[in-house]
Amino acid sequence: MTRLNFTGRKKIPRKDVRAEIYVEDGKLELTATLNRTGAGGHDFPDDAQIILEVVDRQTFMRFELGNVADQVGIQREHLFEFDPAAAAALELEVRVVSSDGLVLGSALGAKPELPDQETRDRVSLLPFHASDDLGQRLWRLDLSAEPSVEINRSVGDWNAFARQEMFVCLVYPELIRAITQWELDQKREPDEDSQWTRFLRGLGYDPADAPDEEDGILREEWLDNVAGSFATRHELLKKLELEED
Amino acid sequence: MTTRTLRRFNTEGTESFEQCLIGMRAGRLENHLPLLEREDLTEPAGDDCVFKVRDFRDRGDAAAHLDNIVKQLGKTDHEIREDVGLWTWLSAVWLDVLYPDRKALRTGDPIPRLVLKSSETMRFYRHFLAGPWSIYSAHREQPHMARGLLFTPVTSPGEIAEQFGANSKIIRRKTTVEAITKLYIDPRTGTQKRGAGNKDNGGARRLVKVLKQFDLTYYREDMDSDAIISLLPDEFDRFR
Repeated sequence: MTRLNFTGRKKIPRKDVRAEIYVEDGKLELTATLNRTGAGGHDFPDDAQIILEVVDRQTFMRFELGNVADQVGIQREHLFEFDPAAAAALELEVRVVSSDGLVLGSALGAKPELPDQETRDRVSLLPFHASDDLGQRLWRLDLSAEPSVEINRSVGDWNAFARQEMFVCLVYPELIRAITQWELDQKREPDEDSQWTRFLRGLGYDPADAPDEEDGILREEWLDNVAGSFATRHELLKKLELEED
Repeated sequence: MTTRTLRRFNTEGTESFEQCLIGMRAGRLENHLPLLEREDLTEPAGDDCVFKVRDFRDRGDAAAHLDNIVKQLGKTDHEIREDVGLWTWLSAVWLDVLYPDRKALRTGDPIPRLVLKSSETMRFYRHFLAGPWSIYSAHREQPHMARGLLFTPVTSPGEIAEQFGANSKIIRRKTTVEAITKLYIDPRTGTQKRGAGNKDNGGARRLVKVLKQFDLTYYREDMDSDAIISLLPDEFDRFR
């Protein structure tokens, strides 16, 4: 198809979008700014508007962060269109737009960060959903988009089921292994930031250091080590023993 | 016209309804009505949310009526959209309206039109009831602006609704949906202009591609519908 227009728009790295999600009284709140917009950074004109959209499929909310010369950002804005369970699925689209509506730069698909461990526990990096179509299966890892786990709604309190120590000890290491494989398959650029890359680095396993696909056995070992490191970090065997006691 | 209290299917309820539909398609004598109130297959969706089951003039009328029903739940649109057991139960309630002649179930694949599954929420737009509601809910303040996506019968969404319904990034933008309506709906008749459903020559499928290309250059959210239409290439002239 013929290109209709071209404005020399810039691709803004997702890491320049600073955004944090908070959960307060069952409500999602968002704080956000866009970094490096002016001279020395992306060098957008002073009067260009910075617009943030928070998106989960068709649902979206729009926020104006101000213009480049006078960015105000947003502080703990209530994301009333979204429920807390959606937090990990939210994506941010930030555009810098000229006064005549041209997109000068954009960062699409950025993820907000979760600011502290307490919140991180409540709004998981790995969202869980109830599912009505798992038949006799109890759970399923969905990697069709960002990783998420489906729990068979028929187990009853599916949320409590997924938090049981037995479930965590038996299932989580394999989840981490499969997600790590998925993360490697994304073939991210070195400067591209992702929550799962950060998570794996936190475990001591940077995806950039993973053996190549051709080194099949080494790669499998590396994946095993990631799962093992996760189990060690969370002392899963000890947890299981405690539960049995 | 009957009155019912809102419920949702659980896993077994959804499976039972799907099996019932498969039986109907095969020409077997099946009755889905007993499924609707069974305690082991359904659960109340709210505190006595009562509604009327009636015919729909078109997708817009269905969406408005369904919106009045589900808003009784006091949930966000996002939560309602994800409630697949609710939407499947509602289509079971309306089955006699949607398919008064069971033989019509043998045409095409009616299952995705009537049964919504949690792993298929990206195909939400195909569901006969959830699809129009989803568009309506995004344009609730001015639903007439979304007429271009809601003017058809519930059981025949048509090419325009199918093309744009599959693109959530397009249908969530109010002025873009208004532009679609202005472009493709004849204001005198309230129905689509000739050729609007074409795959090319300014038809709906081409407009989806052009709008996606625009997104690389223009921020459509701040443009009014006339400005969007004025940007379209010559092939759309016959609809302007």
